[in-house]
Amino acid sequence: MEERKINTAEYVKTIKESSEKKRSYVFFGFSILVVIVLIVFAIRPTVTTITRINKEIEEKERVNTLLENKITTLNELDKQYAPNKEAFDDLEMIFPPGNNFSLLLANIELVTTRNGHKLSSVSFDRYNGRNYDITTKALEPYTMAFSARGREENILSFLSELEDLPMYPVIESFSYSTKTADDGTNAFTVSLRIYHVNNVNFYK
Amino acid sequence: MFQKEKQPKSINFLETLYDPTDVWSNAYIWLVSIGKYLLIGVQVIVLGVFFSRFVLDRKNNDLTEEINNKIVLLSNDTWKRNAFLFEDYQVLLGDIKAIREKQTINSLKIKELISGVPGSLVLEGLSFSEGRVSLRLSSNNLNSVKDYESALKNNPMYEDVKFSITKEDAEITVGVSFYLNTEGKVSGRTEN
Repeated sequence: MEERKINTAEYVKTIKESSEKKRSYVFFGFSILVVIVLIVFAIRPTVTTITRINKEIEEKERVNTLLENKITTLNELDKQYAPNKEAFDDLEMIFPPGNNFSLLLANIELVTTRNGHKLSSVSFDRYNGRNYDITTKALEPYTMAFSARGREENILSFLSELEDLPMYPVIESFSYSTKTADDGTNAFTVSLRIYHVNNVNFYK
Repeated sequence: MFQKEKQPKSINFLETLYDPTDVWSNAYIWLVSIGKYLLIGVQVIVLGVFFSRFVLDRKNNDLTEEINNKIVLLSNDTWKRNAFLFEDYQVLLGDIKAIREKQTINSLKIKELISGVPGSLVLEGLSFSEGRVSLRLSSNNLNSVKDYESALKNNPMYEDVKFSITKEDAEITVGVSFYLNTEGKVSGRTEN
């Protein structure tokens, strides 16, 4: 019985301290080292590069989509613009670049004549209104003031026609007196808020 | 004479059949057993990673070429001019929409003011300036003036209504001034 116990202990000692087991530990360690070296010096830089390229691709895909959209939109706009080119060209007259209000003046003269009035004086100036609070990017308000004479009964329709013009003028101030002159006309003055485009190259 | 060789009655499993002792032999054994699969595994991963990099590189180059082509197309003079023109028109149309929808039509207000003067009062003169209204009236009936004053002062559309009445013989001259109150704000009035 005693002899058997000694044998088992010796066997366990032999297994634990065997040279082959030590060698297997060494080679396991070596394997891990090789794997680490491969991962650090071969796989990791490549994965880093792939991540960078992936980000580049994502960014380029975004830019490409934006450019594609821009090309499609421009194509679409060109198709819509071509048949309406004349109408768009009229905008240059309606909302003139700079201070060339020739179309507005011609229209006002027409409205004045149609209502039996006569223009006495016309002036243009920078807009100094206090109540204007509309935010616009291209259009800027301007002031046109004029005085005229005409029959009293047509004044309201005259004012209404003024504000119906395609330039969207607004009557900022208006004054008139019922004192009738010898020819049966009354004098009145009107100040209009009109709009123009400040950039002279806007339509070019 | 014929003495039999003594046979062991047990097998020692711990004793290997082939037990190399030098390092190179052990390395060879490791290489063909465990290391082989380990290296193959890592190499497969390396190959996969490299292959995917080639694919991504190609995709990246294709995209770069595509973007460059589009930039060249958009850099064309006609395209550039059209792009600016359409952008300007878009801004302009937005502005036109804004002024069309937001600005008030004052001719209607002036019409309402004139038609609101009772028949018993004669309108001598009217002045309208950015929401500030001044009327010059005449009458020979003080009650009509009082009624008109009361009507204006009780109308929430008018603010700060002021009346000045002068009487010469039977002729009553009335000066009225007030501010128009549009949508809760008094137009033209500067707050102190």
